[in-house]
Amino acid sequence: MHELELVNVCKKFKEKTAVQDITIRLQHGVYGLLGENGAGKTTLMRMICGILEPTQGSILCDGMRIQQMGGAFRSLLGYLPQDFGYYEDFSAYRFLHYMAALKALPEDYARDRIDELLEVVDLEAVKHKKLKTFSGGMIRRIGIAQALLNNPEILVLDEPTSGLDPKERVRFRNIISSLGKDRLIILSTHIVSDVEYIADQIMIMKNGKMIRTGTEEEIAGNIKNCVWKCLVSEKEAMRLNENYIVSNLKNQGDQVELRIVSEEKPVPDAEQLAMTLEDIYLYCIQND
Amino acid sequence: MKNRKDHDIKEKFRITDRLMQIDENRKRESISLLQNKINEKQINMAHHGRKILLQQVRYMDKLIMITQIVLYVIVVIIAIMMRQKGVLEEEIILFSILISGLFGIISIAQISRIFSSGIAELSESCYFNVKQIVAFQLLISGVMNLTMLFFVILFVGLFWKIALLQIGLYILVPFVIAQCCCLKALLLEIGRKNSYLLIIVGIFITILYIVIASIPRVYQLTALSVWGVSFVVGILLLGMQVRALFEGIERGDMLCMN
Repeated sequence: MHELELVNVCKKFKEKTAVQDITIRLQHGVYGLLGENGAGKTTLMRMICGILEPTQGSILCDGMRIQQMGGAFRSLLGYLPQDFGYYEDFSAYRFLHYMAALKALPEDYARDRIDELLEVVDLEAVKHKKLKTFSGGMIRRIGIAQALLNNPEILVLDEPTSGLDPKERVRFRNIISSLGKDRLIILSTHIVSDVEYIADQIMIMKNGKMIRTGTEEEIAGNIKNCVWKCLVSEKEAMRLNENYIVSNLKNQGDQVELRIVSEEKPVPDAEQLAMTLEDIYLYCIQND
Repeated sequence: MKNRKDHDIKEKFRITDRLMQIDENRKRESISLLQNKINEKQINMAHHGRKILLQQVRYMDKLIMITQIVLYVIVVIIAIMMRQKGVLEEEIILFSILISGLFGIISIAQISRIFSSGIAELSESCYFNVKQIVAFQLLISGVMNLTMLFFVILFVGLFWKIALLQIGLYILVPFVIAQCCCLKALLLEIGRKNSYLLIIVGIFITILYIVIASIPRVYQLTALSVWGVSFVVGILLLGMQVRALFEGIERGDMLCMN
C-alpha cells in the first residue's frame, strides 16, 4: 500500500491559478473528489499522475518525489482522464494491447488480463470492433478497463461514470468498492451519488482550494440538522430559492416541494430530514 | 545500560560464530548459485524489455508508417522510370527535393497523431511516457527516412553524375526545413488539436519547393555555400525545436487537450 502526500501544491496557468496551496495526505481507500466545473479537480488529478508539473510544491509517493521516481511511480498508476483520447481505427482489443505495451506488461499476462477486463466491463462481444463505432458509455468502459490493466496500486479516475447508464454506474461502483480495500483510489465526479456509497473520505474543491476533507461525518460537522422539506406555493418557492440552498425542487400539482439546506428553519411547517452527501456538498460550496 | 546489554549480546554472537565451521565449498557453491540466479533475472528482464518494445511496435499506430513505406515503393518505381526515360538533371533534382520535403512532413505527422488523437494525456501516465514514445517514433521514422534519402542521393548521384555532396545538400536541406516547419506547427496548440494545420504547412512547403527548384541559379556551384549554410541553420533550428517539444511534453501543457 502506498501513501501520496501533496505539500503546498499550486498550479498557475498564465493569469489563472487553477490549484492553490493544497496540502493533503492520501492513504489506502477510496477518496471522492467533489467540486464544480473549474474548481481545479482535473488539474489536481493531472498533477497527481505526473502529467502536469506543479508550479509550486511537491507531490510525494512514500516520501519520494513522483518526478524523481519516474517510471517506477507510473507503473503503480492507473489513470482514466476526463477526456479520454484514443485512436479511432483501433479495435478495443488492439487498444488494450497497445496500452498494455505502454505499461510494460508482458504479453502473456496482458492477454489474460485483457480478456478478464473485457468481461468485467462487458465488452467481450465487441472487442474486435473499432473504437469509432463505440458509444460514449462503451468508450468509458474501455477507459476503465485500460486503467485497471496493470492492477494499479494507485487508481486515479476523472469523471469515470460520465456517459454510463444507471446499471453500468452501479456495476462500476461495485468494481471500485471491491478494489478500494487495499489500494488508493481517487475518484473525481460531479455525481455525488457515485462517491456517496463507496468513498471512505471526501474532498471538496472550490476555486482551486481544498475547502473540506474527511469522512462524510467529519465534513458534515455541525450541520447535521440542517435539511428541511417544505411544501409551498410557486411564488413562495421562488422566494425560498433565492434566499436558501435548495438541493431539490419537485412540482406537486399547484404546489412545490422543496428540499432546503439551512441552519434555520426556512418556513414554520418545514419538516426536518436526514442529511445526504449532496446536501453537505451544496452547503459547503455555497458557504465556503 | 542499553549499550552494555547490546555489547554483551554481540559478544555472545561473536563467541558462538567462532565455534561455527563454515564449509568453504558450500559457501562458494551458494554464491555461484545466487550469481547465476541474478544473471538469469537480468537476462529475462532484458529479454522482457525487448519483447515489450516489439509489442509496442506490433500494436502501435502504424497508419503513417505504412503510408511512408508505400511512398518509398512509389519513389523507387518513379526514380527507376525516370532513369529509364533519361530525364534531365533539373527534373530529377526537382523530384528529389519534393520527395525529401514530403518525407520531412510525414516524419512529423507520425508524432502529431499522438497529440491530435488526444491519447497523449493517457499515455503520459504509463510506464513508457510520451517523451519516450515520441523519441522512439522519431527514431524509427528518422532512420527509415534517412535510409531512403541516402538511397536517393546515391541513385541520383551515380546515374546523373552529380557530386554526392551536392545532391546530398539538395535533398537534406528540404528534408530538414520541412521538419522544422511542421514541428513549429505541432508546437502550436492549434496544430496539436487537429492535423489540418500540418496539411496546410505541407502544401505550402511543397509549393515553395517547386518555386525554388525551378530557379536555375540555385543549382549553380556558387550557390552551394548557401545550401551548406541552410543545412547547418536547419539542423540547429530542428535541434532547438525538438528540445522545445520535449520540454513542452515534460511540462505537460502540450499533452492535455483542455
